[in-house]
Amino acid sequence: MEALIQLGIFTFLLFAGFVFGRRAEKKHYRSIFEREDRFRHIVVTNEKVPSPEFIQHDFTMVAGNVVISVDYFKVVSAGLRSLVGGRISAYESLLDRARREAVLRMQEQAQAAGAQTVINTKFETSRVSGNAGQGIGSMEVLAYGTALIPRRA
Amino acid sequence: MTRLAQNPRIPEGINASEEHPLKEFALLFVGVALSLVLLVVILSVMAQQLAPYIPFRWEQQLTQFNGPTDAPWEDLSTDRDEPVAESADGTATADRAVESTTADAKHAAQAAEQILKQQAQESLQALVASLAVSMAIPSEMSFQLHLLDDPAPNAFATLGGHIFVTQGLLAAVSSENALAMVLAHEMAHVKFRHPIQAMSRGALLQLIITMVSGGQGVALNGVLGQTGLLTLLSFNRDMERESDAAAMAGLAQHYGHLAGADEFFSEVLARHGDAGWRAAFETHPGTQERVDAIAARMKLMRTNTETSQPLTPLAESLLAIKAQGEQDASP
Repeated sequence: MEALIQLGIFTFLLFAGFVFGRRAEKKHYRSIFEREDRFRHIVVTNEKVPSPEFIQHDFTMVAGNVVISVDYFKVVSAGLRSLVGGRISAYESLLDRARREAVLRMQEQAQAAGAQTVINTKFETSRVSGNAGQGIGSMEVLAYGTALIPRRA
Repeated sequence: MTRLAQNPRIPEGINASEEHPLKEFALLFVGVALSLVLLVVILSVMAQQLAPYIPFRWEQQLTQFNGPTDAPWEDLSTDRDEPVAESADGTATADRAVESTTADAKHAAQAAEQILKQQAQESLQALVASLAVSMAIPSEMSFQLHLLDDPAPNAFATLGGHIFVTQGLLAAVSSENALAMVLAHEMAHVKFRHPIQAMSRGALLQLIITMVSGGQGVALNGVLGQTGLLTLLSFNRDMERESDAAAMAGLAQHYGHLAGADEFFSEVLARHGDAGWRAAFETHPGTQERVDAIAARMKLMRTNTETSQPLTPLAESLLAIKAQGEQDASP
């Protein structure tokens, strides 16, 4: 009986994780596509030294960071995958979303600062773990760069 | 080198796959489940083949907690708050109790019951010892009999030759032959090393589950562990049939006939009926099947002994505890 209850809880969590996780992911991707188009004019590159045309620009650091939670379905799916090896596509989409979202937030900040270019972009990622490696964790992505702001004449 | 006028549009599906997550999950789930089942089957067969080679001595050591008489389950089943040795003379204690307070009387009654139980346990032990000779039990094996206070008729054997008999079983049998059939069946389990086989299988399964889940997915771990223990820690039907056959052979050797051997099963059958469809899922062969098997064997033996055989009565101490059990049940 107890085993059945536990099986029920497990199935429920799996189902809930799938339904809500999938919905959140679809919604997030729609928003990412829409905003990427909107911020396309803010060029983000990773060159370290600004080219001569920016020599008169002001500069400031802009950053965007995001934390996305793993859902139960992804945890179980990744757990199964870890038995046989291969790419954990369940987590890949998570990382993809987090990275793009972080860049978008950085672009948003750059736009607020009046910049049209962000150079020297760097990424950092870390795991914001739930409880000491057990259960559901979440991931953080930080994107930061140097926004080049044209000086007002 | 010209600067980009705007951020490029990067094609989708490079960093994240666009495959439906359920597809991957289903594929993984089925694959892992199938290989796990295969692994469990292989390891179960191996455990069954190899477990009998584990020395019986080791098995006994596993179950010796503080020496055989101080096993923890005895404290669970009986409420013993004074040492048995203190009230070695049961009748004297009982006499004294009449004049004493009711609390003392209760104590004395408990002590008397304890003695009765111990005597019954001893006669069970004696019966098992004599059966062991007829059943050709290897000399390194020994049995420890335990009488449980449970009114449900039942008997089971576990690791280290410990056999548990409930008082309900004593109440359900009328002759020593019927009791001996049940005891011989449990002894045969021990003889064929069924408990250690079941335990080895259970331990292996537990190990696999821990390895697979790796501490991850606590719920999954719990589910697999519990269902695994439920299904694999019991004996399977072949084990039960093997034990039944050995028990009958032992009884035939011991009493020279099989009369009364089917009494217990027949009574269970009369009381509950055969659990038809349920039988497919149960570990024991259907009760009817067992009665029939005994009847067939009896028929086989009757060719040399025509007259019906007298049944051996139960030992006195067993009759006493049986009578006491009925007394407890009536008021």
